Amino acid sequence: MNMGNCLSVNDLSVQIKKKQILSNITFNVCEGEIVGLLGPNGSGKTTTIKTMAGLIKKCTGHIESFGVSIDYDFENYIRHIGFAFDKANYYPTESGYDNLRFFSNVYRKCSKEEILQCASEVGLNKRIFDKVSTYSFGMRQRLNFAKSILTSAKLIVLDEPFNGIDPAGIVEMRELILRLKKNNGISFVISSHLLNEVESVSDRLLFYKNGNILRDITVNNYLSYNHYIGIANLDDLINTDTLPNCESLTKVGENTVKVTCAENKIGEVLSLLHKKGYIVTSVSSKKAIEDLYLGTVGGGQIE
Amino acid sequence: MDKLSNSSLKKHRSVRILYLNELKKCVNAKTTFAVFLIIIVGLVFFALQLNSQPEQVDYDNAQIFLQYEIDSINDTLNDPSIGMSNEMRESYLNTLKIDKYLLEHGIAPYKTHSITNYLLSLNNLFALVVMLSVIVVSKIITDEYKYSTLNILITVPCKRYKILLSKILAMITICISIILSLYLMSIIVGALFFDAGELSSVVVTYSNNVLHVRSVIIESLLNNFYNVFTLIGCASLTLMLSIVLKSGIISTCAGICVYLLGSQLTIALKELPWIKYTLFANMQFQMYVSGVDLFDGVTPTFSIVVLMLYSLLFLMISFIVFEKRNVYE
Repeated sequence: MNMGNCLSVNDLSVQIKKKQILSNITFNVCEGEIVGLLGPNGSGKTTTIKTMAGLIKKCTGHIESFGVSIDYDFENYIRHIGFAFDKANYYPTESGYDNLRFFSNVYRKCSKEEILQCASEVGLNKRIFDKVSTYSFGMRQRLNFAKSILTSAKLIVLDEPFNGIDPAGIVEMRELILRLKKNNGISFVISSHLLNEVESVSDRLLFYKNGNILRDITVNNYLSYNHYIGIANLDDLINTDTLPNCESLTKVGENTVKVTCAENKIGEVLSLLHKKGYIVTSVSSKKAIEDLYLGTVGGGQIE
Repeated sequence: MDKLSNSSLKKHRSVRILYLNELKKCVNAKTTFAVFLIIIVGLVFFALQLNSQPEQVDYDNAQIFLQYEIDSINDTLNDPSIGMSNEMRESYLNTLKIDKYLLEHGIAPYKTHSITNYLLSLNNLFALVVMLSVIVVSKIITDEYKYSTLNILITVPCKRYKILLSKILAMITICISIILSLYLMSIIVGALFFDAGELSSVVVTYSNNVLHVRSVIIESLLNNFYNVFTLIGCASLTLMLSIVLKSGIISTCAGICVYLLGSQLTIALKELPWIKYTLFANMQFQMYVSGVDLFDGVTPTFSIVVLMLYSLLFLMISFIVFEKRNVYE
């Protein structure tokens, strides 16, 4: 395991009822890094997370957290990882406060002040003494974060954290993740179907399909943008020969072209268009995550 | 030495915390509150029912009553026209020995309307206690599946066997607490409905060819002591089934049925040589109290050992399944 890695998964294979669910999954998560897991339903994202959590037994491979193997010292392996699954995981008849005390006490004795401080950090202080059964999904996710902070988790693994949350909740969740990363140095592994949400917080993306990782990309370096450029005098002669800096160029309207290139290349593209006499009237940019996703894993057919 | 005990304490800290958490959940649960409420209602109802029955003992002429009962039993036993089973004959003989002892020592038999009769008849209420206890025990595991809390529980820094161990310790505590509460509440309710002064009187029983003379409180405590093992046997079976099948209904029903149908099955199959080694046959502690020995060489200690062996087997299966099982939910 390299220095600076908080999680290392090597050649992980899982078979359930004679069906191969995961095959040779290998990836690392560095300290302070956010890794997004993307893929269609049944591609193995949740199985990877549940195997990391010890809920599902692996067939082969090694999983280590901060240098401690899941096989040899489970208690120390899992001590610094906080897990949040897509279903509600807290005792509904107990209050949020009691749930936090329940789980955190297993790690260490926490004072009331500490618990309330953590609840306040995740914006749950007003409802912390209410029963969990009255919480929304977003509030339960906050409770997950509070538990992770309270138990000094250095890595938080979230399975479908954005499911069932309204847009305002998603924005808050995203800000919370980024804040925890910045202020507490917490790493994250996030599995979700919401491509733009995962991509907007992740440093790296892993594309899953049929129990394999097809692609492992670093967001800032490699992810291209789709730039929609309005051109007043657009003609049919425009193509990638006109703009050699772009990865692809498609005419998508009478006066609009979609140009795919890295974010820092758009200046050069616009300059070239100007030099060639095109009159640019508008530019709007979108990350090309959906195209990248479909290009990598296809239409989501489970084989 | 101190370091060793400190390290041992730290090692088992997680089990202790999880165990206390389990107990807290049980105390806070509405089901537990309902269980105790039902037991109190059952105790009051039973006291009222006992009071409504006609008095069978002429307490003012106890000696005459005992002599009359002895003569009647002798007549019945010596009448060849009355066909009776061996158990019935044995029961009559036991009553005869007790009556003779009471007559010789000038001890009055207890009345129908007395705290002694109330406390010693509580075994009739025990089926209800078993039923309610297995409901509470089955929820220890099935609620974890129902609310998907097992996912998060398994991801705390604690090995799976420790998680289950804490639940088993909670289960045993619940069983003992329920029986202890039943015992204490029965004395309180009994004292409210009957003459509490009779608690100092003695009770004569006959079992395993020995006459036992004990105070009412000790005799009742002994009955409840036996019931703890019956309850742990039923609860272990329920816990095992709730882990293996993840179904609260099936595990609860199995725990209740093994007790309720057990006595009928034991009597129906008592001729079979292996029946005395079954779980349900050894739950019938009432036979030791009433002095009816269904099987040769079977003593309360034998039954306790058999029940504990079954409980250990059930708990071992629970550990194996809980340790190996994948949690998908």
